[in-house]
Amino acid sequence: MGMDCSSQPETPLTTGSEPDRIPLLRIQELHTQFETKQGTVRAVDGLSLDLYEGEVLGLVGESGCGKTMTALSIMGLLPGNGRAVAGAINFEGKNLLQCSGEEMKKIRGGKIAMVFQEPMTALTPTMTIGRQISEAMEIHLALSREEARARALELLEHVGIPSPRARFDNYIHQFSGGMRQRVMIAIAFSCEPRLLLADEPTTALDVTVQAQILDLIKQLAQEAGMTALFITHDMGIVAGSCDRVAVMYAGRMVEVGPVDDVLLNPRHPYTQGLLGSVPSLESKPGDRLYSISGLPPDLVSLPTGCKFWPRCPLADERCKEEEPFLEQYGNSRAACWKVMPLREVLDE
Amino acid sequence: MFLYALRRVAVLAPTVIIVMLITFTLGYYGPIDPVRAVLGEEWEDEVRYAEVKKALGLDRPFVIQFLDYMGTMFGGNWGQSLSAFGGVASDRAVSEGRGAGFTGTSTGVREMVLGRLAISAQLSFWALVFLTVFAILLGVLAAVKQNTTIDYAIVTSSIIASSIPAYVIGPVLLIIFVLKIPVFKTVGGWDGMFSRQAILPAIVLATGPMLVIVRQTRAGIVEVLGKDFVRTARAKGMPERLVVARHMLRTAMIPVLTSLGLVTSGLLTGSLFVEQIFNIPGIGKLAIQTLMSGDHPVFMGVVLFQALIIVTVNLLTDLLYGGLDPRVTYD
Repeated sequence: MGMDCSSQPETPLTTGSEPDRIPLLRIQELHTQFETKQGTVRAVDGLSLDLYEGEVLGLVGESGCGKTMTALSIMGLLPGNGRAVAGAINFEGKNLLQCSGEEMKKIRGGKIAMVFQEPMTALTPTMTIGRQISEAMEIHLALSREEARARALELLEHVGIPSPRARFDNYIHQFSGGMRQRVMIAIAFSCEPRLLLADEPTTALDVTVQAQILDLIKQLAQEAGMTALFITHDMGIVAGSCDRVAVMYAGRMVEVGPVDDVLLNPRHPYTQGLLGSVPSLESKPGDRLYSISGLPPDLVSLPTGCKFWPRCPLADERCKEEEPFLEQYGNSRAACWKVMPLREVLDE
Repeated sequence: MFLYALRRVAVLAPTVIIVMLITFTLGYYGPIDPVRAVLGEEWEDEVRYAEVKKALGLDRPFVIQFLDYMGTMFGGNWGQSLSAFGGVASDRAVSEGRGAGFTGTSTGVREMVLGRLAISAQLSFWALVFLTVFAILLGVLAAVKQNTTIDYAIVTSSIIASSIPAYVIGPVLLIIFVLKIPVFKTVGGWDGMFSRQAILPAIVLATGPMLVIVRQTRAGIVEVLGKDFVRTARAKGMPERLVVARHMLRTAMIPVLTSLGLVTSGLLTGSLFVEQIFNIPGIGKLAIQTLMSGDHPVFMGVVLFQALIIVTVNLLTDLLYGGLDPRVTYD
């Protein structure tokens, strides 16, 4: 890919194009860190992100860029000694980072639900799937055991599990991967949350079931008018399911905007690299897939300036010293000193 | 599961025969002479000696004696204690038995063993209740409060409790709760499992295996703490208490059940020290008495029965796995 460093950077626009509404969830300057023997791991490093009512936002990036940790910070379920040390996560007028344990329990599962990546390990093996669905409703919706059971049966039916009555008392080892994820989805939707966090919900599944599960989540979210955050590394999912997309690199956001704009006109060289690594219909057998050179940075000792410069084909002295901030370009925002439309680059 | 149990019981028969062969051989070649035990002082009289030996059937060849023994055992009658033949053995057994509050006067091996076993079983039952309630609770608490003072305190105190032998803890508790603060007025004998007398010996019996159960429970819970399904349960907003009880405990209990099985066998067959200290006429005390007095038929009955207990508890443990873990099937 020949990148011309002399092409003029696109000038930032001043008018915003984000939905003209109050966000349901507003993440401001979130810093999530882990203390290790090697030093402080900055899993999320100053991320700001807004989620608007009813939209589906895709959060993409390589493994280890902080997507999952962002979701777990929202849920207050960071593993080990992970802490959201600075910033704010505002949801329904509350800063989730300052909520007490009791307040968070009401929000978790009730207002914000999460679908996890691994349906194989994310459900309790020693509990019937029916009880796993119904127990949360007893807590959040104050249903009796019988009412919760009746509703769990409806949910099972709704997520496409045949003969729910017979399946209610089954255990998870009696289900296939796709069916397990349907159970997981039934759990997430059971208490009608306002926000759904889906952490790579189809990654562990067979390709044939992936589309079904995605359609199911989309359909249910639409029916309930739910806001959703889709964590994925699959640009196909972003293109097919999301309204907006946010690209993360090394714990921070490098580009965010409407899906069409970002996918067709990526500004950040990292986004361009991610898109370049998706095989297209035009590519011929034997063509090498484009891959971003180098490895993601060590989160203990991040480079100075732009975190992407060691891997960036456009990097110059300024990139190494000054950290770029998000600026508006067209309908999207990107954090790069060298922003240019992708078409220009490809046309050369 | 029924078929599985049946198969396991069928496999039991050869086990029992092998145990019988071993105990019988040991008895046959062992240093204790049953004839002397019956005759006492008189044993030097050769005529009497030969008479009694013939009466007991001990003059026959090993194989015949063993087959005869098997016949008696499988016939369900289990033979007679040597005390039935009079002599020192009977005097000592009866006097000790009475001193220990043993009211049975039967000399049948079956009655003696089963009667004593019932007492040991009641004692072991309390110890087991104590272990499953307190030790598991402490283990869970230590795991949930992992690496805090509470955790260290629980683990350390269980180490202390389990490393002091029963013959030290027993007398110490007796001194404190009987002599200094007379909570328990009398010791010795057995008034049934709901008498106050049962409390101290049951606690002492439970302290030995306590560490194993606390540790196993703690390790089991710690292992599931970081599992994805526990995170899912928390993501549902379940209270921590229910996360532990519903999502963690059953999985964590699988290794604990293995230990509890071994511990149960140990309690039933190894309550010997505790029975001796608290003067409880259980099966452990019977074993000591009959070993000392040379009452072979009874001693062999005790050993055989203890072997049976171990295999039965093992079978029960295997059947209980299915109750804990739905993935276990018995096909």
